[in-house]
Amino acid sequence: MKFAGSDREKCKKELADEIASHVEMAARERESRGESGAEAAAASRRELGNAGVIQDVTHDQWGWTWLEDLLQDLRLGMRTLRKNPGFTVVAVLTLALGIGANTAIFSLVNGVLLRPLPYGQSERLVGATVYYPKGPLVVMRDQSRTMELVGFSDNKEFNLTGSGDPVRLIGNSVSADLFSVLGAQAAIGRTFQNGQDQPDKDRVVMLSRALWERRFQADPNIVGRWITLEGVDRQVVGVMPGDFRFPSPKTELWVPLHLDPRNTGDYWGDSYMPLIGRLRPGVTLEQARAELKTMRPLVLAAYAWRMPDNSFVNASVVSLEEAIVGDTRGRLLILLGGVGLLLLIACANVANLLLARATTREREVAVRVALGASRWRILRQLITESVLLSVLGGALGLSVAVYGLSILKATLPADTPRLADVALDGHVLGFTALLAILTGVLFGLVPALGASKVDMAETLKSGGQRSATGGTIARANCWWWAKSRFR
Amino acid sequence: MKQRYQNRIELLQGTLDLLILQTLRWGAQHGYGIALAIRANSGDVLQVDTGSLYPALHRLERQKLIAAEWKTSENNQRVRVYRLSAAGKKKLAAERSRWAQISQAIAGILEPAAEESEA
Repeated sequence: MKFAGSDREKCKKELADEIASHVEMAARERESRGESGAEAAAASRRELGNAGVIQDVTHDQWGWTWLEDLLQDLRLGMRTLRKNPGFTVVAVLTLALGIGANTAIFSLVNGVLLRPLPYGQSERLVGATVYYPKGPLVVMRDQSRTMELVGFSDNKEFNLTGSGDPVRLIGNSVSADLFSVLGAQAAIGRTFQNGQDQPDKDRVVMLSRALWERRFQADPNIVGRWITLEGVDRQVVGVMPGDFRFPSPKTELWVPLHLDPRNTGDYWGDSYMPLIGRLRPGVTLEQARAELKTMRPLVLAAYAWRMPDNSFVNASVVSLEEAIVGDTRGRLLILLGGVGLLLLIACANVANLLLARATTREREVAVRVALGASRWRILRQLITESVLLSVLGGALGLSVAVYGLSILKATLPADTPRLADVALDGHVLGFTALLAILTGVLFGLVPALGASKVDMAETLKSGGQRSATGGTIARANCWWWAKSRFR
Repeated sequence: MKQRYQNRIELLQGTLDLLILQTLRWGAQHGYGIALAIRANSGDVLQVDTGSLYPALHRLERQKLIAAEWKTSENNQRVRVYRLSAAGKKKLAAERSRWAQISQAIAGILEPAAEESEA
C-alpha cells in the first residue's frame, strides 16, 4: 500500500519518469521515421494527452488517494483562509459565538438532564412530591413494603466551637439510612448505622471531604474524635468522598435526624422535609404510588389530633431525577432551542459571506476544472474549506463556552438543580465537534454547489478583461442592459 | 476531463487487462512497448490510449498480477519494465477461456441471423 508520505512522493516521481520515458520513446521512433526532433517531441506529447490527468488517474489506482486529497485540501484551505484574513476572522468569530452558545447551553442540558444522578442504581431512586414531618416518615418507613424511605432537612447552619476559632458551617440532618439508600460509601470510617437517628444515639457527625481537609488538616485519625456543634458534642464517624454532594455542594456535614416522639410539636407538626426512597427489588413506580395512597389513612390515624381531611392528599412519588430537576427541564429545552436558532442564523450569515466570495473565486475554480479537476473534487475542496472554518470556529467556541458557562453558573438561581454537575465533559466536547462539522457542511454546501458549477470557457475567456472582484455581477448587468436595449 | 478518461478505463477494463497480460506472455516489456505490441498484433486496429494503459498497468501491479522494475534500455534510457507474475499467468488462462466463451456466445447469437439474411 503506497501510503506513507515520502514513499508516496517517490512513487509519484517514478510515475512521472515512466510517462516521460514513454513520450521519449515515442518521439525517438517518430525521429527514426524522419520527423524533425522538435516536431516529433510535440507530436508525441500531443498523442499522449494530458500527462497530469493520466498521472492522477493512475495513482488513483494505488488506493488511499482520499486521505492524500484530504490533506491537500486542508493545506490549500489553510492557505486560502490565511490569504483572506478579514473574511476568515469574521466567519470564525460568527461561528465561535454560535457554536460557543450552543456548547454552553448543551453542557447545562447535559449536566442537569442527561447525566445520571451520581448514586448507585439511581434509576431505582424516587422522591415524594410533598413534604412530610418526622412522625409520618417513621410511620411510612416502618409500613412500606415497596420502598426504603428516608428524609433529610434543608441545609442549616451549625456553629463549630472548641477546636480553634469558632466557625459557622452548613450542615444537614438526615435519616440514618440515607447514605445506604443513596448507595453512598464513606471515604474514611463509615456512614451512620441503622437507628442512629434515635434520641441518645444521635451524638454523631459525618464530614464532607472539603471540610475535613480545610478545618481538620486532613487528619487521618479523625474518626472517633469529638467535636462541638451548636454546643452539642458529637463523635466523627466518617468522611464522605469529595464527589458526594447531597443535597447540595454547599453541605459540609451531616448529623442524624433527631427522631424524638416526645417533642410532639416538632415530631408531628413543624419538621416538614423532603423524602426520598429506593424501590425494593421488583417493585414498580406505580406500585409504590399505590402503596403511598393506602398508607395515608394510617399516617392520619397516627396523629394525636385530627388532621384536615385533605392532608397529604396529593402526595405521590416520582423518579428522583424528576423530583430534583422539576420544571427546569422545560426551561432548559427552550434555551437550547433558542441557541439552536442562533446557530442557524450564524450559518446563514457565513453562507452569505461564502456566496459573496464565490464570485471572486470563479476563475480559480475554472482554472482547476481546465486542469482536469472533477466537479466532485472541487466540491470536496470547498466543503473541506468550510468545515475547516467551522472547526476553527468550534475551537474558539469552546473558550466562548467556558466563559459563557461560568457566567451562566454565576447568574442562574442558586437553587437550579444539579448546577454543580455542569461541566465541559467528554460528551460536551463530542457534541461540539459534531456540531462544528455539521455546521461546516450546512453552511458550505449550497455555496459550494453553486461555485463548483462554473462555465469554464466563459469564465476563462472573460477573465482577461475583468477585475478580480465583482466581475461577474458587472458582466451580468451589462448583459441585462444590452438585452433590454436591443430587443 | 478526468471523467472522460475514467469512462474509457471502464469501457476497456476487462479487455485491456487481458490484452496486457497476453502481451506480457512473450516476455517483460515497458508500457510503450506494450502499447506498440497491441497495435501491431491487432493490425493497427486497436490503439491503446495512454490514459487507460498506465492506470491499468498500476492496477494490475497492485493486484500482484504483474510485477515491475526499473531497467536501463538498449538506448541507455531508464524504463519501467513489467513482467507477468505466477498469479498473472493463472489469471491469463482464466481470462482467455472466459473470452473464448464470450466470443463463442456472441458468435452464436450473430451466426443464425447471418444465415437467415443469406438465405
